[in-house]
Amino acid sequence: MESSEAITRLLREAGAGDEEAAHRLLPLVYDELREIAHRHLRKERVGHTLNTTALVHEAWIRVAGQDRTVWQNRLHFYAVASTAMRRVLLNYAEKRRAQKRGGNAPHVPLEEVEEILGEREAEEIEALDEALNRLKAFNPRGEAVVVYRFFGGLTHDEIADLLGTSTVTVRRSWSSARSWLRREVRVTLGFEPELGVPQAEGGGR
Amino acid sequence: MTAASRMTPERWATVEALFWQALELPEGRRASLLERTRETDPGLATEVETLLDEHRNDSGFLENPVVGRLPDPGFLSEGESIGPYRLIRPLGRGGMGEVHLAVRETDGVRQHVALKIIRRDLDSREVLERFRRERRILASLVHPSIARLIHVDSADDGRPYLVMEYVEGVPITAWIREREAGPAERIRLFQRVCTAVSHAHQRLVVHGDIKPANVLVTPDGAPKLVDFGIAALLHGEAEGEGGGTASGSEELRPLTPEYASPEQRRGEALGLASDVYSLGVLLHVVLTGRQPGAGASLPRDLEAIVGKALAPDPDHRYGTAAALADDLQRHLDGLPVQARPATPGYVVSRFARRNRFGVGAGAAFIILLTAFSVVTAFQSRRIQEESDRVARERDQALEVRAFLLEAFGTTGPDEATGDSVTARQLLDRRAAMLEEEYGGRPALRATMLDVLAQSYERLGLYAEAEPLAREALELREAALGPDDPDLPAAYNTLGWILHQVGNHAEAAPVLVQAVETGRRLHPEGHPILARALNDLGVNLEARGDYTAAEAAYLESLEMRRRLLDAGDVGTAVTASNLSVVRYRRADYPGAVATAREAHEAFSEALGPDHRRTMIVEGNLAAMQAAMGDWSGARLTYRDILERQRRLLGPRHPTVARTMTSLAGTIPAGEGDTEAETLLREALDIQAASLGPDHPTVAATSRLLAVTLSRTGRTDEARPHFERALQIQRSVLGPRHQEVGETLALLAASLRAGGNLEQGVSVYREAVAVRAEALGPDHVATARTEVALANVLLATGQVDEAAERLQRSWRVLEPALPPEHLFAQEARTEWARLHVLRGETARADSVLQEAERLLTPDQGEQLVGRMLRELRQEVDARASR
Repeated sequence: MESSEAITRLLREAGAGDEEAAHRLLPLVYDELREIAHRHLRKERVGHTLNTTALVHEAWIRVAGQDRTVWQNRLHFYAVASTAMRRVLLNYAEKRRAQKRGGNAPHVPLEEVEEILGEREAEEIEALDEALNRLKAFNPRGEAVVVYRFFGGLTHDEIADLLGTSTVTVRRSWSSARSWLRREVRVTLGFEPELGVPQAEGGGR
Repeated sequence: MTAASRMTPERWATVEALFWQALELPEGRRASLLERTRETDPGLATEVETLLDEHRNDSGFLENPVVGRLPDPGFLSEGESIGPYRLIRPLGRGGMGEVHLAVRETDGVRQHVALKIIRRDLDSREVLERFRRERRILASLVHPSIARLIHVDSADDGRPYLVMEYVEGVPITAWIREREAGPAERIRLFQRVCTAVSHAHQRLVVHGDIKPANVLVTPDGAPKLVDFGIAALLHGEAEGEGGGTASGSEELRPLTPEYASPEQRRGEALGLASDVYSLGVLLHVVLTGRQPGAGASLPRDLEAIVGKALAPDPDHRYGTAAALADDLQRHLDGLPVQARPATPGYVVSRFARRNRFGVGAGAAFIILLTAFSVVTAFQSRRIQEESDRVARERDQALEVRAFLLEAFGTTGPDEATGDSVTARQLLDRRAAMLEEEYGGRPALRATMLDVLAQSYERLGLYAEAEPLAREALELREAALGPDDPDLPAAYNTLGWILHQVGNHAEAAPVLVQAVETGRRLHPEGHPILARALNDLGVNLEARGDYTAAEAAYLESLEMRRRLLDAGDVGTAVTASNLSVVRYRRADYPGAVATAREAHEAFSEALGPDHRRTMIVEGNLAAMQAAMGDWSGARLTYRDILERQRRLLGPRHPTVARTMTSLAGTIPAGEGDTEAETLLREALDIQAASLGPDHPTVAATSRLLAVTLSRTGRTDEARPHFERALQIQRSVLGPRHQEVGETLALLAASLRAGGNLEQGVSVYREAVAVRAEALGPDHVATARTEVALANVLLATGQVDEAAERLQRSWRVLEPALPPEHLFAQEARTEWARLHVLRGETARADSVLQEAERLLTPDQGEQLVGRMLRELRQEVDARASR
């Protein structure tokens, strides 16, 4: 709970315009998410794929439950949580690939990782992460929009608020960045990516 | 491999712009745009073309985020399960939490419910505890217009949740709008809401958050209130809706400010009056579509009704939701409404109505004596003042106190006997809760016990009240010590209950303790001490110690005058009590002076037409009569009668009672017809209002018979005596003292009408009944036996008369002072017996003694006349 309190405090500071606070949030939220994910997996092993929504919600509730005023700064939490979530997922994806390749003994058992990500999803996550890194070099706004929306579940309006731009711009950025990313991931993997595709959800695994 | 490696921000800006431009074109025209671009910048055209292809083939890449929408803290999503319930869709979110339509499936039966889960930041164990405690009471609210509470529990994360009947309906305001309901239809709908609220109030449940969203109307037009009692339970924990700014999180804010009463907005305990206020706001919105003060105008009496419901002071509002509905009914019926500007007198009268006071009813010459105890006012004031000790506990205590006292007070348990079973069940339930609830908090527990004891006392359930009052007292003595400021009040409550039970001797030392503790803790005087002195006075008076009673009243009166505002009702009560004890001590001038003072105070505080004011006025009339001022007494009674007729209607039982009092002040021979008319009308009213077999009807019948007999119309009197006897025998029993009294009066009437034979047999029966009811050695039995002897002598049955006289004289002589009327009557009959037996000398000596003892009063009465006749006879015989 200590980290929740720290997050609460940093969120308030970030809400008050403290940039530094926003940076210091990330590792805390990341640890929080990992811890929750780990606990979830230990507890609900059988036949459950990790519900990432529940994971972030739980992290959020542990933070927001400390102090209701945090709700006002929830966009900062979203922003930080989406970045943290990207890292958590990448971490699992890498482990999964390492295990498959027979690499170093992981400290996370295979079954656990399998419950979070299917094999194909793990590949797509890695490819997406790599493409996002490249996108960011020339299109930082597009990268932020995608991260906030895909990993954080923010709406266009909220993203516009966070980035200080218009909703129209966000919608356009989303559309062009997504097409660019799709092309890059497809070319890298050699197949049509299905990450986040509505029909693939559930059925793809 | 792709253009990505060469991409720069500037280049991307161009790509993006063209991509967006193309996207906005129909597919067919995109090719020509790309062709034109290819002419100047083939790389750009290719880049955009591949992106457009990607877009075209995209079946939703990254469309579904890996996380869903973040919830407002504590908000749930559909599909989640809470206990055995699965959430279907949210119905609403508010200050307290969220409500979901949920379903429970058991054995294939689907039950749809509204599930309310309390906001995360409210989920203290205490709230859950409160819900658990109250759930039975809330679940007992069964009314077609109230959504039922089905279940209370806590979710896995510890948050309490309530499961309620799911109501398919729209808020009342939306329903009115959609239906375009007319004014009368709106009022009638609103009245049904009031009825539902009233039902809950009778069960001591406050809604606490009445607003359109909680007053739904079903598709068939029936109103249904949801969330009953929930807000009141949460009160003290809840923050304002949308609240949550950093400052003042301790501050209590109402759930819905527009509908919250001023006291609610101040964060005070919720009472029934808070709901009346919210109903007032709702009424305004229902009638006009706008909030009060938003510039909508209403017809004058509706404006007055809304205004009364919205009075800032809870005491100025309608006492109940039912009263509000009634006033609306009067408006619909075209009658004048009760709503009127609040006046101080009105407030006091509301309080006064809640206090129980006994009224000694009676026929002729019986003074209306009243003894009051003002219990609640000072105590609640004290509780309010003792603020800092345990603010939280105080709030709860006040809440419960308000629940109990308000609910009973406005109905008045003595008037609402029909409800007393329900009220009693509630009290029993609360009493049972006390142990677990307040076990560790003696001060609060004692206060609650005290409140419960007083509530039982108000319902006349003394057997229940007594042990609670005793426990409260013992708790205070043991846990809080001899200096607990509430100790005198605790003694007083117990003492007064014992007194009410009729246990005067046992009550006495407790009431003395109340006074002594009061004196020790408040050497400068205190309202509680003044009350204890008043109550002790009542007890002393009941035990016949008029001198001590007068002293207690005097001290209480002095204290109340010194400490309380002029016009304080308690002060007037004590003054009235003082006047009565002075009357009993035959200090008539003193009694009249004090009674006048009490009359003035009641008149001022409660208004001239208040029941109490008129009771004191009646006492004044009886005192005037006692002083021989018959015409003054008659004038006063006539005045009271005239006002009561106007206020209560001409056929009210109280009016009838005053008529009998007035008739009793009319001496024989003077205005007998008026007395007769009054009594006949009173009889008629009483038979109609109380029922033909009521003991009061018997008493008035007897009085009418006596009045008729006085004017020699003994034959006419006969059926009225018979009627009185028939009622008394069947209601009171054939051997009741009242039966004996009526038989004796009937016998006297028969004798006066010359019907000696029947007179003898009725007198014999009267003596037999009295001997059984009062004992053969009672002076009243003996006196009737003397009267029997008189008739026996008139019919020549001298030996039986002699036996009767000897027997009665053995009773009367040692029991009474020698000049007593009864003794003089007996001497008269002795003398007559001697005359009839020819024992002239013995007759003469008895007569001489009687004449020596004769008082001026007796000289003018029947006994004086008979003595003079006998003297003539004896003198005549002696001279022969």
